[in-house]
Amino acid sequence: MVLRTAIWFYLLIIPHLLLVWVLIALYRQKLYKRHRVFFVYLIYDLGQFPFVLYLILSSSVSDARYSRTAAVLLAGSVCLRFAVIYELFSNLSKTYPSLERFCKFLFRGLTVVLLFIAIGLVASAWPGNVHELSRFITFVLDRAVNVLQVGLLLGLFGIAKFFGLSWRKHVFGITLGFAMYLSVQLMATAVQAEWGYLKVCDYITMATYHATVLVWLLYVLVPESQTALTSVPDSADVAAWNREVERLLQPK
Amino acid sequence: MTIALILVLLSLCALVFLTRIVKGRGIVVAYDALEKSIRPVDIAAFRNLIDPREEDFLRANLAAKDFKAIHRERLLAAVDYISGASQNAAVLLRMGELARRSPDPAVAEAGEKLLHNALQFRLHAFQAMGRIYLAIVLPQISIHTGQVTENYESMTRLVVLLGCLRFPTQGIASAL
Repeated sequence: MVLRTAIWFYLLIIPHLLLVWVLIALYRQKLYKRHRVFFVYLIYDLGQFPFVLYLILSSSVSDARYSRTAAVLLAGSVCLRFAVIYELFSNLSKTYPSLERFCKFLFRGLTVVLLFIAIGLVASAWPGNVHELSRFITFVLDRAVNVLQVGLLLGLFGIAKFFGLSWRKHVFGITLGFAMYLSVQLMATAVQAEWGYLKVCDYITMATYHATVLVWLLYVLVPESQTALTSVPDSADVAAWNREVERLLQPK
Repeated sequence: MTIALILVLLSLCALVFLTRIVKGRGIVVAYDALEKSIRPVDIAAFRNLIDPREEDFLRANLAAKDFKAIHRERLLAAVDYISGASQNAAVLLRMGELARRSPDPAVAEAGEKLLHNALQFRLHAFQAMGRIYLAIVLPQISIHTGQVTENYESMTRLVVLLGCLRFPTQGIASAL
């Protein structure tokens, strides 16, 4: 029991302390200019933490009040996460201007498709009675949002993989962290929307959040490696292209 | 119940996909490995395969059943050509990416152009393959893959330019 409580408090407090480190590292490396929304998201997350801690620890706060407040705070977090995902798409477009139109198109297209799926999921779990309302708000709506956000992040990874794009280290770290956390969050909300609240899901999502913060920290702290075209290609390498070019340049 | 299971499975797949991306990211591909991944692409043969006049000729001279079978074979071959060229574009994209970080402005500019063309090519190749598969299912549809060959040609020329800029004494210049 004591160990479980210790783990719970560790998972609640330590990631937020690490988040302060991420914030400082972003500021020192001036990366906040490139990731303004992500920076705001981190501040928001840190800002709400003492409040959440008070709600958890205070005996005067009822469960209903806690749930209501948590839902409001979650709504703010969800909105900011959407903005961060859009910022990540924009970052990729800026690095590869040729893909700007395609990225915009894909972002909009994916959002519409995923929105339909999310609405379908919400509609299929519409509460039959008032007792199910709290489960619906806490898990079903959250699950729909997670579907949308995980889909967009995987779409981003998909574009990068398909085109063989290289990521800036910190952009990759932020995207990876979010994708990891939201995938696990999706799993947890999917299970809880079906079977109701499970304490173990809290531990799993909190542990994943801890891992996410560590990923952000790692990718922000590790310096970017600068590789340039330094090696001379093998003559066989060039010859293969020469053959193709000669064929092209032959009069048709 | 089914929805929950599907979503749990999808989440697990997403996590596996992310793990593979992280593992793949650490691998530094050597230049030799890039060279080995280049596949020869015969542009003239590809042009012939997607030439609408050839298609009309076959349509006019073959029985409908035979035409369908041959048309399908030709389109599948075209897909093979495009995917080969698309794979080459991925290799060139990496070369362009490396070149655009070069301190030499001419090399960096050529690298930037190569990167742009390689990206455009992969985008058009993706669209063209979609159209070709549609034409396989619906043979009455005529396909237009115009930009693919032009993109590939301009991309190949840029590789030569990049080679000339970086390695002026090597054999690449002799092709021009």
